[in-house]
Amino acid sequence: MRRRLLAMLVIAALALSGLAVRLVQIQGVDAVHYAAYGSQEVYQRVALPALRGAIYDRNGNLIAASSPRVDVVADDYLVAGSKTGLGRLASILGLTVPALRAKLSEHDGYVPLAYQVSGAVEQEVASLDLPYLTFAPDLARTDPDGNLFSPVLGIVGFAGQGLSGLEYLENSLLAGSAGSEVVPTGPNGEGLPGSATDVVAAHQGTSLVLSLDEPLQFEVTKDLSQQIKATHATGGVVIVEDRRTGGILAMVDLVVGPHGVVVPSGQNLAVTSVYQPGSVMKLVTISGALQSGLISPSSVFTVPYQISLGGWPFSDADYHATEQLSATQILAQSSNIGTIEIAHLLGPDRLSYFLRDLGFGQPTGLGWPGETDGLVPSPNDPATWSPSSMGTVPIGTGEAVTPLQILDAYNMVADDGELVAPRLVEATISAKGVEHVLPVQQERRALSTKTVSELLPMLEKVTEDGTALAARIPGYTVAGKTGTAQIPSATGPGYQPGAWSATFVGFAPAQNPALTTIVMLSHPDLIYGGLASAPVFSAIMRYALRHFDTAPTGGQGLSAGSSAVGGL
Amino acid sequence: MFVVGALAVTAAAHTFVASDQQRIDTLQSQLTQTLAEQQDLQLSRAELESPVRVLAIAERQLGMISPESVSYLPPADPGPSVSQAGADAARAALSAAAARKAGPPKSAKSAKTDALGARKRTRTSPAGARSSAITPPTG
Repeated sequence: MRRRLLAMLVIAALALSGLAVRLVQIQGVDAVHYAAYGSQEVYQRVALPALRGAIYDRNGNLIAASSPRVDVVADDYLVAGSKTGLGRLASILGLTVPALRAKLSEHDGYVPLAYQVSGAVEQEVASLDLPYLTFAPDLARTDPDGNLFSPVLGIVGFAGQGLSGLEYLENSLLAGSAGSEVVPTGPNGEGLPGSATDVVAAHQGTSLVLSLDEPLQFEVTKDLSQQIKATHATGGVVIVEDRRTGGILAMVDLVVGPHGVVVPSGQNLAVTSVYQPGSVMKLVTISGALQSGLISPSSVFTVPYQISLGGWPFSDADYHATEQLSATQILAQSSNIGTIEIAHLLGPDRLSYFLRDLGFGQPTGLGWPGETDGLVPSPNDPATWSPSSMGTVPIGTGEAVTPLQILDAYNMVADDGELVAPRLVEATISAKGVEHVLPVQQERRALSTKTVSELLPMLEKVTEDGTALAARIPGYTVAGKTGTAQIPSATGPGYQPGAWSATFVGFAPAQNPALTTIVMLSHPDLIYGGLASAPVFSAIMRYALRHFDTAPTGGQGLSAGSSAVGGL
Repeated sequence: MFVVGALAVTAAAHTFVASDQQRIDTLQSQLTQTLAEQQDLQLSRAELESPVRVLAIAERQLGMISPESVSYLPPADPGPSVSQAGADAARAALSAAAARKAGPPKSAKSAKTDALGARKRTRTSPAGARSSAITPPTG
């Protein structure tokens, strides 16, 4: 009996000692670990998403905005044998029952069933009271105008980060910064009343006010689309710019899709894609020669039909006997040979200087992701300059530039010789609603006012009795230039047979310009810039000048007129 | 006794705090939801106002067609500026009021003639543009 009692005492002492050791271990040695473990069970760090800033056009029209959504997520380990309500859930989420069953059998533990569902769908799903479903916060980016602005705005990824276009360029402003807080939760994960701790506040994204104008963007898209169809072109680009501020009012990039449907391009071709522009580049040679005092608008040149340069023949578009042409006539009639003769007066170094001076071969200042500088040969670089360069460069077939670079060069002439950088963002609006108007970027003088005063009538002559009669706008004077060039082969030297680009760039009213516009069509069957692109320019400017309350100036087109886009 | 009383008061206070906190959480949740609804409504309004949608409805549902060409009617002679033209119009109106008994003003007749003349010129302009608008290809 005594031995039994002793044995029981020893066993009890050992048991109590074990408990005591375990107590010391839990409360002392591993106290921090177990306290943290307990906190994890009760407290949860919850993300506080930052709402991405909205994007407005210049009139305050919403053109991109984010709205809170949720992702429906399943823990397929919790589904177990209970699969009631699957049919209803599949119906709400727009899935088939077999597809939903397959998702719930992935053995992953975190299976997103639907992304960015609305509040109404969330409530419907929640009413099913399925224990294995949770809702993860997400944000949906919506462009109310569909794809009207898509080449400019770009794409926002699932993570709410801008992946391309303006959404990428201004992501640091738009995205804001997400926050988080630690809150107590119940056994089912629902939040318990109590103060949140360790709060890191979310900073909502800054909204942007663009220079783009929604009604004009729509009109431009309509007009360009019609002309692409009418001329069987493969695509086109139009940019309309405010002469005074460099603000881009419309920027449209269209291509013909696989089924012959005209759709917005996947990228902003106006900035990221180069092409041989043709005669619109004659502006560089003529303005350089005027600025250097080598010619005046009335200087006369003897212009044959054809010359040879560096072993290559150069000719004008149509045969003509050797004739006397003034510099004004050379520009108005877009004479290749006359322009090459003026370029020889200028010389390679000054020609190269004025190419750079007018903004070619360098970024425009827009800062666009993927923006190209273009390819501009230099006489100091034998790899890019050949004996025939003094023939190809002056007439726009020896360089590759972007439509925006051309537009800016002509806008410089419209702006009395001042080169102003283009811009898309005019103001920002903070999360608290404070608007901050961004200043116009510093202008740089590229040409003297004297040169511009000589150049303006010459460019006006192009639309009065030159190659761009179709660019005229009733009630307004127009100055501009046509460009027609073959499209280089993509596979090797030479050109694509029968493939041309047609350009018209100009501004109006000529004597007090308000708007500058470029129209470029790729592969039109009407190959000439004066036939394919000039009518689009006219149609767009007829609308745009009135839209922006620009007073008529009279002039050669002072009559009621109708748009000829798509009706040639 | 005092300790029990203090504990009871503390428990009651904690209940009130928890209750208020729950109310705050609910209100914050409602605020977030309302802001989201506001954002959705703004987006819906923008989508409803979109010219792309309006055109689609006009053409597909209402059978409307876009005009092949759009005619604009500029003033016959806008003068040096619109403001100047406005001032002239105001002066003409005053003159017309003063001389109403003398019959219709001559300026009204001449303005009508100018406008008609402008319309006549319109018809000849595009044809001339097409026949001579040729751009020499370069390169």
